[in-house]
Amino acid sequence: MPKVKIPRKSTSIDMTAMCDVSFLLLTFFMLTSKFRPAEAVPIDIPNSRSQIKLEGVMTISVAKDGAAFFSITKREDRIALLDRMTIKYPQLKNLTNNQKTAFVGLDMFGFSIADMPQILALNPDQYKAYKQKGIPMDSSNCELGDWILQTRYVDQKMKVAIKGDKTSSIKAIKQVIYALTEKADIHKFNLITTLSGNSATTTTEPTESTETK
Amino acid sequence: MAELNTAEGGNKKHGGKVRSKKMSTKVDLTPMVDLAFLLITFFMLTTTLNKPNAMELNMPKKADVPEDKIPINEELLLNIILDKDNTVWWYEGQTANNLKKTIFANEKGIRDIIYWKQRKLAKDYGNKDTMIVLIKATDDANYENMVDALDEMDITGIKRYAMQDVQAPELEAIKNGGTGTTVPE
Repeated sequence: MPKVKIPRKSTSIDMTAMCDVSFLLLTFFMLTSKFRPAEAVPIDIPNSRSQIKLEGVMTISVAKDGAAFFSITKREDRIALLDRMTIKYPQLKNLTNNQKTAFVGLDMFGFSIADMPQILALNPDQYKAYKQKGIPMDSSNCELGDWILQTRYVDQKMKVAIKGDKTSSIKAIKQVIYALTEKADIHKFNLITTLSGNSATTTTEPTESTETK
Repeated sequence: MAELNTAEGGNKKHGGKVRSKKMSTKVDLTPMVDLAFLLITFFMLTTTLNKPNAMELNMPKKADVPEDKIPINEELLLNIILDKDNTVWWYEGQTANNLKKTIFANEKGIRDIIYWKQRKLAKDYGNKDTMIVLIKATDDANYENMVDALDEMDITGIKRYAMQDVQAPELEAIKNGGTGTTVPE
């Protein structure tokens, strides 16, 4: 019986296919990922253990000084929202198309309806330098409540998230909660937090209290 | 197969005609694949980390109709009042005459008080989940305190809790300084 000769094969593999796949994946991730929108105010969010992820929400941000800012992610929703707000506040009818596009381009805003035409007329550099005062949310003039309510009309399933600064006063947060519960009748919302660093120590905490009889 | 051939001056000694050596067109793609996967990992990690975490908060609807108001057992109540400089006041029941001062801490703080109350209710009522916590905040407290308090509910596994406005008798009791700082064992 003749000996079967095993041909000696090269150990190096053709990497072209793998390279193709990996670059395809790379392009996919690069194209699908979105840049984080520039923030009108820096907000230092508090820590918690919570790990619920949110997507497609309207965010009410509360800055250090208690000024409230409003933002929604989808551009189409912003157009619809502006139309709805125009019905509620007839003075917005005077907005030019340029001002409307400027509004739709804003990721986050914090100004009153009265200041709106003037702020939307600013060019990007001026806008960046302008310090926004926040959306009025007193019980007498609660524009924030209207923004939330009208957004809910645009998309009924949109969730609400509050993004507060660590040091912002409870007073401002209470006002936001007031706008949500009393004006917009929303009783379920989310608070945006980061994962705390000491979560490992807190999860091992439960002692005798975990036992139920 | 996929190897880069480097020119070796083998033909030089013959002199005269310089023959260009036929080189393999194949390039070793391994480093390129390495780089691509490194970038993929980077993009995958950064995109998922960018999504914010959130905690849920449910606020009660205003009970306008008297039938909606359910009387609760006073002994199940634990009140937590958040105040300035990260201090926390707490008392049991409905009257703030035994108000005590404490802090946010893993030990000897508000968490131990909640555990203590849970143990007590487990003994008296056979179930620690009967406990109700009311979180109140004075205007001097900051937002971080509120999130910390809600996080504490999650850590200690409190099923029933609510945010409420601080009442005038409580403010009065805080002004008087409470009745001590002891953490019950």
